[in-house]
Order: sequence, then C-alpha cells, then structure tokens
Amino acid sequence: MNPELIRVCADLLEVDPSLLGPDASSETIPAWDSLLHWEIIAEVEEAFDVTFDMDQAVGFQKLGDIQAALEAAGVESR
Amino acid sequence: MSSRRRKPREQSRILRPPAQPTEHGLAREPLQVFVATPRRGVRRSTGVVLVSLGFANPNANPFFVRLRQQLADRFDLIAVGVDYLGTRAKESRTLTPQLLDQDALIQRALAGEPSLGTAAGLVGIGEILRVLVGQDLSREFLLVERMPAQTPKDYIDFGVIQAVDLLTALHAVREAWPKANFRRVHIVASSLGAFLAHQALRLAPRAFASVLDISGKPLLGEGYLLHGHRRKALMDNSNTRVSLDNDSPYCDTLPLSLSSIDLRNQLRPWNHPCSAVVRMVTGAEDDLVPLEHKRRQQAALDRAGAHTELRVVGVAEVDGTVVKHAGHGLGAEFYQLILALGTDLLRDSESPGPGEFEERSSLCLPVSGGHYTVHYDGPPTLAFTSDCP
Repeated sequence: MNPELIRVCADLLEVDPSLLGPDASSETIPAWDSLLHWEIIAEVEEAFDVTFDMDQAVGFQKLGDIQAALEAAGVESR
Repeated sequence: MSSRRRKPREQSRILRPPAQPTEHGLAREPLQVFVATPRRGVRRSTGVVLVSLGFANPNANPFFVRLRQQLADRFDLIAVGVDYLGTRAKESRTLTPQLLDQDALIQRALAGEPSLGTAAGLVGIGEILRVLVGQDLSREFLLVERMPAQTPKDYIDFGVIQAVDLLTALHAVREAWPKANFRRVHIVASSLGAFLAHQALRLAPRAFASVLDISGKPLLGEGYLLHGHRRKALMDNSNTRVSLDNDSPYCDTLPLSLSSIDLRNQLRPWNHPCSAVVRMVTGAEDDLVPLEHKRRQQAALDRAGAHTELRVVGVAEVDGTVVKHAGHGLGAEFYQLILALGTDLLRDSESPGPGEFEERSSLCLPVSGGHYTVHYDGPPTLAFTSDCP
C-alpha cells in the first residue's frame, strides 16, 4: 500500500495505520462513514494531485479500491 | 475515470445575503449560500436546484460540494445549498457513531462540559447541542418571553425562518444570475432538509417545478431530533430558558399518536395551487419516518392541490448499491438516489406560471401565539404579529 495513502487515511480516520490494509473499509473502521469517505477522497486527490470522477469514487468500497485507482492514474504503489 | 492531471473540481462561490431578523431582535449572521454553477457557464436554459440537506449534514463537506457540482454539470442547473443550521466552512465533518449516542451526549451537555465540541473534535456536535438546548433552531419560537404558555400547536412553528432562508437564497441566486431559467427551480432534499423543502413549498407553491423528498419528515413533532423524554429532560434543566407544554408533540415519546398530526392545519396557508411535482421517496422500514405518516402527508398534499408521487422502497428493492437499505436514507447515498429517482424531474420539469417573486404576493402563516406574514416584494421578508393580549 502507498504509505502516503495510509497516512492520509489514518489522519482523517484517527486510527492506527496498521489497521489500514487493502480491505479496510467502512465495515472494518467504524469512523469511516459515508461522508467522511468523501473527505478521504478529497484529501487523496490533493495529496496525489489526481482527480476522481464522482461516479468512480462512489464505487470505492475499500482502501484497496482507492489504491488501485491511484495506480491506474499513474501513482506508484510504494 | 481518474485523471493524473487535476482539473478544476468545481465552479463554486458563496453568497451571503442578509438573514431575516427575528421578532425578538436576536441578531442573525448573514446566510451562507453555497452555489455551484455549470462549468460550461450559466445560460438562459440553466435552472436552479436547492439542495436541502438532512440534519447535521454540512454543506462544506467535500461530498456535498461535489454533489452540487455534479448536479450543476449534469442537469445544467445552478446548485444551491443553504446553511440553515449555521454550519461554518471549517466544520466539515459530520456525525459519527460516538455522536449518535445521544444519551451520553446529553448527559455530558447537562453536566455543563464546556469544551464538549472541541474535545470531541467533531463537528455537528455544536449544532446538535444548539438544537438540543433550544438555543438555535427553536429559540425564536420557544423563548418564554413570547409564549409563556405553550400551545399544543408549537410543532407547526418550526421551520418558518429556515424556509424563508431557502427562499432568500433563491432570491439571491436570481439577483446574481438574472438571465437563468427560473421556471426550472427544483428542490432535492433529505430528511430534515426535506421537511424544510415542504415548508418552502408551502410558502412559495408556484416557485418550484419539482421537489424530490427523500426520507423527509412530514412534521417535526415525532421524535425527529430526539426522543421526547430526552427533550423533556433538557427542558427541565434550569440552565435553559425554554419551556414546552407537556401536551406538545415535541414531548411525546415515540411513536407519536397519529391523531396529533393535523396536516390540514399545516397546509391551511396555501392560497393557490402548487405547481410542483412532489415526489416523495421513503423506506418501508424507516423508523424515523413511519410509512403511514408519509401516506397521510401525501393525502394532505393532494387535497391541497399538489401533484404528488409516493415511492416506497421495500426490502425487495434494496440492491446494495443505489438503495442500500429500506430505512432512513442519509449521507452520501443521496447522490445515487437523486440520479436513480430524480433524473427525469431535474431534466424535464418546469413550473408553468409566475412564481411568488413575480407576483409580489404575501402569505399569512399562523403559528403559536400569532402569525407570520411573508412578503415577496424583493427578498422575502418575514414579519411576526402577536395575537397574544
């Protein structure tokens, strides 16, 4: 997982980074509600200088999905 | 698809028209009206959509910022959000499971914990507390100075000022983009925001082409903000200056007796037919908005001349994507529900005739202890006249 992605998410979710693997989601992180999800998207866009379409971002179900989208946009995973 | 090179995410600005003063002389800050315009520009075809959010859903949250921009671009609309709860831009978070533990929250508030909001580091809590202790949403109506003896009608008072705020925002948009198409004015709303949408529709029945009400409350006296016993506990707190009649629906415990809902009384101020298509969407298992209440609201609206549709989302319709449950729809599901259930309204519907703004009409609205008069000569203004001796 991209360490910067982990950092961004851990800061917003206020959780230990070790909890944030590819399968981390609103199912596993209680603070990850549907609106905080969009704060994560906005912070990730800012941090990596990318833009996600809304329809695409609606489909992000877990952290691994965001990682995959970043990779598709040319962001290295490590 | 994602793009490595960033493009402008939004075409947005904030308008700050003056808020209505209250009859108590309580100062109010200017409204914050969040506006997103189509990135291809505002044209004569461009309409307006008021995005009226549910309780403690902040307009500045990135989701709602993006939602407004999506609606603006997809439907050629000026998308407008109004901070009726006084949310500030820095307050970008929303409820968390911890904050939903209202019992614990209220106990902390009653204990006078002054830094509760800061300590929690979570926004929405300030709004919740202001609501809970009647210091914001209800203070205009519930202060003991005006109504030493509350009447059982107090539940019809809520939302008048907030609804006028919505119309004020619409007026501000008209002034900023006078060449846009104001026959295409829509409301998409959820929960408390949908309650306020109906209030706005009541004040301006011909201003809107459509209302998409998702999980909207017919009235607020049904344990919407908190259960009755909690509110009573707060009202009993000597630190507050608010009192309520025990017969008020505010003080009922869930479920509220249906007999205490008088929608005909609520709709009485309507003096001409409503032009909007009112599409109400409710979950069959919504425990905040009982289906029976929604059906009664529809019947009352129909009697008042509205064109209504009621769509009940049952368990069988839950697909896990657009419709994730048959309960009370909140949060970021709003976007998918709008697309799934409101696309035809936002794309095709127009109001046929002049709106209240063109007519310069006024409307009398009875509330506890007096009545409001809304004037449309310029920005909507609200005047309270006391019927008390």
